[in-house]
Amino acid sequence: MKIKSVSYYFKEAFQDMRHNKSMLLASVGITLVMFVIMGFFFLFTSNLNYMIKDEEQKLQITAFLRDDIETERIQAIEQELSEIEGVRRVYFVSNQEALERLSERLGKRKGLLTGYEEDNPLRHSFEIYVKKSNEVPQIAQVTETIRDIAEVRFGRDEVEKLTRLSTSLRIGMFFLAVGLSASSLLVLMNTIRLTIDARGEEIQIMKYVGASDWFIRWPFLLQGMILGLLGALIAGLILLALYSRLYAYVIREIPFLPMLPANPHLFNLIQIIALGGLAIGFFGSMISLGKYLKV
Amino acid sequence: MLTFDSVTKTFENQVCALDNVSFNIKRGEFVYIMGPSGAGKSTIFRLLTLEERPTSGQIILENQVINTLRRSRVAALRRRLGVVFQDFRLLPNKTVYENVAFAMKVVEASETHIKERVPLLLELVRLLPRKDSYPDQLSGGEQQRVAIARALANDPGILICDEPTRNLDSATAKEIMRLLNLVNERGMTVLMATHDREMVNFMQQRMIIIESGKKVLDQTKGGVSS
Repeated sequence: MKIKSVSYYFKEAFQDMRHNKSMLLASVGITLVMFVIMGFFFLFTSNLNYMIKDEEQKLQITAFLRDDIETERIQAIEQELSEIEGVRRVYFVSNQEALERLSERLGKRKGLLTGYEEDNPLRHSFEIYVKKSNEVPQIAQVTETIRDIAEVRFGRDEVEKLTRLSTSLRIGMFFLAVGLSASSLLVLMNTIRLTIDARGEEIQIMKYVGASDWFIRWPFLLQGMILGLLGALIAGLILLALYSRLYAYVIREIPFLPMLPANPHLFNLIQIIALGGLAIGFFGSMISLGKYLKV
Repeated sequence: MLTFDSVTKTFENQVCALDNVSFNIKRGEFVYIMGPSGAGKSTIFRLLTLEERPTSGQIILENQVINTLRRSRVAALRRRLGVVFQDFRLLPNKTVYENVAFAMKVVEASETHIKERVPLLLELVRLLPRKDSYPDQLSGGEQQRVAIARALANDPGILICDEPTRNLDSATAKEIMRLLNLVNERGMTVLMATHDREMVNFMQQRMIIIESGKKVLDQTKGGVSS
């Protein structure tokens, strides 16, 4: 491919786009909307997975003690718990500490707890950290048999629920992506087809004088790729602006909610979106060009 | 130079456009393909440019069997053919100069070569003074002369003209015929489809007559050959 030809391809591509502004806007618009929706879905599921990971890491057993327990007994239970096979660490959480933690998690809304300082409704508990997460159920079972332990909880239920939600969201996202990509591809194909129609005669002459298929294709492929990329990049910027705001809000207002930071996560997503835009543009043009090259 | 060897073309709807047609054209010859509309003249041209492939038989151009060429080689083949259409097919948004230069540009000829060659071609067709005019500012005859210059742009081995005088009045048609004759005298092989007997009589040349897809006559300048 000669450099002179490359400049010819770009010149032709931009010339066509200038002549076809309304379709240009339509294709950039639909690509943009598609990528914004898909981007948000993707970010949502990524964050959900991040939360699942976070929960899994925290996977521990909480053993609540009976209300009227004595201090000596607490120490004895701590000893018993540490001796269970597979337990890494045992940490005692007094009802006072539990209340402080809750107050911290509530952030600005800790006023809700006013009045509970004197009459603490929470129970003492032990946090039991295990060596292997798959041993959690057995260790929980053993823990339950220890005297004066009122209730044993472990986070598996939440993790399972979140995992199920994440899986169904991913399936939903897949179908949404297919549908949106198809409609975006169709609009782009239509745009390129219009410009090809406008230049049908030129293409025919090019074929007759012996221009290669690729020489004819490139201006249209470039046009498709530029439109796809433009839509994708604008979508990327919109996602970046909205997500950064959301992130700042979550950090400020709901600090205990784990959320992925924009950098590098969103920047990687923007790169993928840009590639997607290029691909949609390329294939849209390729399909549209098909019948014109059969002269 | 060009050989059609027992070429038959049957379309999918079972219409037989060419039936076992054979002829041989030597380098530098001027040959008319004559016959009424629908006789098969255009099919011969479409087979030559590989828009269609023969159902059976062989087409040989400069010692190369072309009807079996792969699709990717078609562009290279077409650079060896100069094509002139009855409806000129000039690009309306390009000047005379640009129309001719376009044919060279799209086969990636160098800028220097284009700048040298286009004025020479326009001089040959006597349109150099009008190089900056647009097609709609030209008469039909002038437009066809631009089309001939364009067909010659990439120095083809053979010029194929599909009824180039059909849309022109008699005087202009003769002018085009003189130009094609001049091009032929300079060594170019010319194959021209026509159904205009007056033109054929005007320029005494070899004539192949096709009727209902069959070759019915192959007459050299002086008499009838096989």
